[in-house]
Amino acid sequence: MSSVTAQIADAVATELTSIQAGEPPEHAFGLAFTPVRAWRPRYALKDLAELKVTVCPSAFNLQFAARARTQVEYGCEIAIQQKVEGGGDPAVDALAGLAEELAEYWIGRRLDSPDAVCVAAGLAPESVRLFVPEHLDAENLFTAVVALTFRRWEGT
Amino acid sequence: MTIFSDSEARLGAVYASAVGETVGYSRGDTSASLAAWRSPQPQAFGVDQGGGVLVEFESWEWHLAAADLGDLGVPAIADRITAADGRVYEVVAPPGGQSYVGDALLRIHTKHVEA
Repeated sequence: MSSVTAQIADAVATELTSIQAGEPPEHAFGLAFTPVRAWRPRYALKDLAELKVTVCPSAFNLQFAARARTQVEYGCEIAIQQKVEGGGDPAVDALAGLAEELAEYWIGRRLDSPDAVCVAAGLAPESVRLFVPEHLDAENLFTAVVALTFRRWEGT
Repeated sequence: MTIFSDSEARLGAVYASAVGETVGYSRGDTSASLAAWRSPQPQAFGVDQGGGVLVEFESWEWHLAAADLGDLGVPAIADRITAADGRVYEVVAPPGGQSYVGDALLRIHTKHVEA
């Protein structure tokens, strides 16, 4: 049995790839990127001169919604990474904007397969800022993680 | 200049001519061509900070004579060193530390940022 969490990440990556290719659903993000589906973003600093967008399965949570019905939430994270000139670089503004765009795009959106709807989109739970400050300070690297929560119901 | 710093600078010049290479040192639009040498081996680290995002990097120490930096003065974070082989290194500061040490002969902390 394949992981539904992984299937959702696959579907998210596939849809983002379609958008970048100009295919439906038609949408335009402020920056061009090639999404990669992985279990964890892992790149060498020297390869981050170009924008990397990585879609990762993250978590799941089951709750009883009724006597014979279960509500399941699946987490999916989208990591955005690119080397920049520094904290004041306009590129940082654009990358932060992409993080917001991705959250706005996915909130309320439904996936066909697996059938699930995005009920929350925003910063990863442990984040206190939109970006990872340690990466920007130590490596002039912009890193942001957008966390999506997809919900579906199982049972009757 | 003390006898020690004078000796350090002379030693650096001798070492640069023996094992150094000509590199490009740049800060924004300003650049200089100078002799420098890097540590023989990189220190490789993986950093996992925030959101489980892993970034692998190589740290290298570069050595050069402070006088060769000319108008650039002293190294600053985000300065770039382009080695003879085309690799690009960026000046960084280790956590809680400074990006370089030394007076006449500088040891500069960098990370490899472009192949």
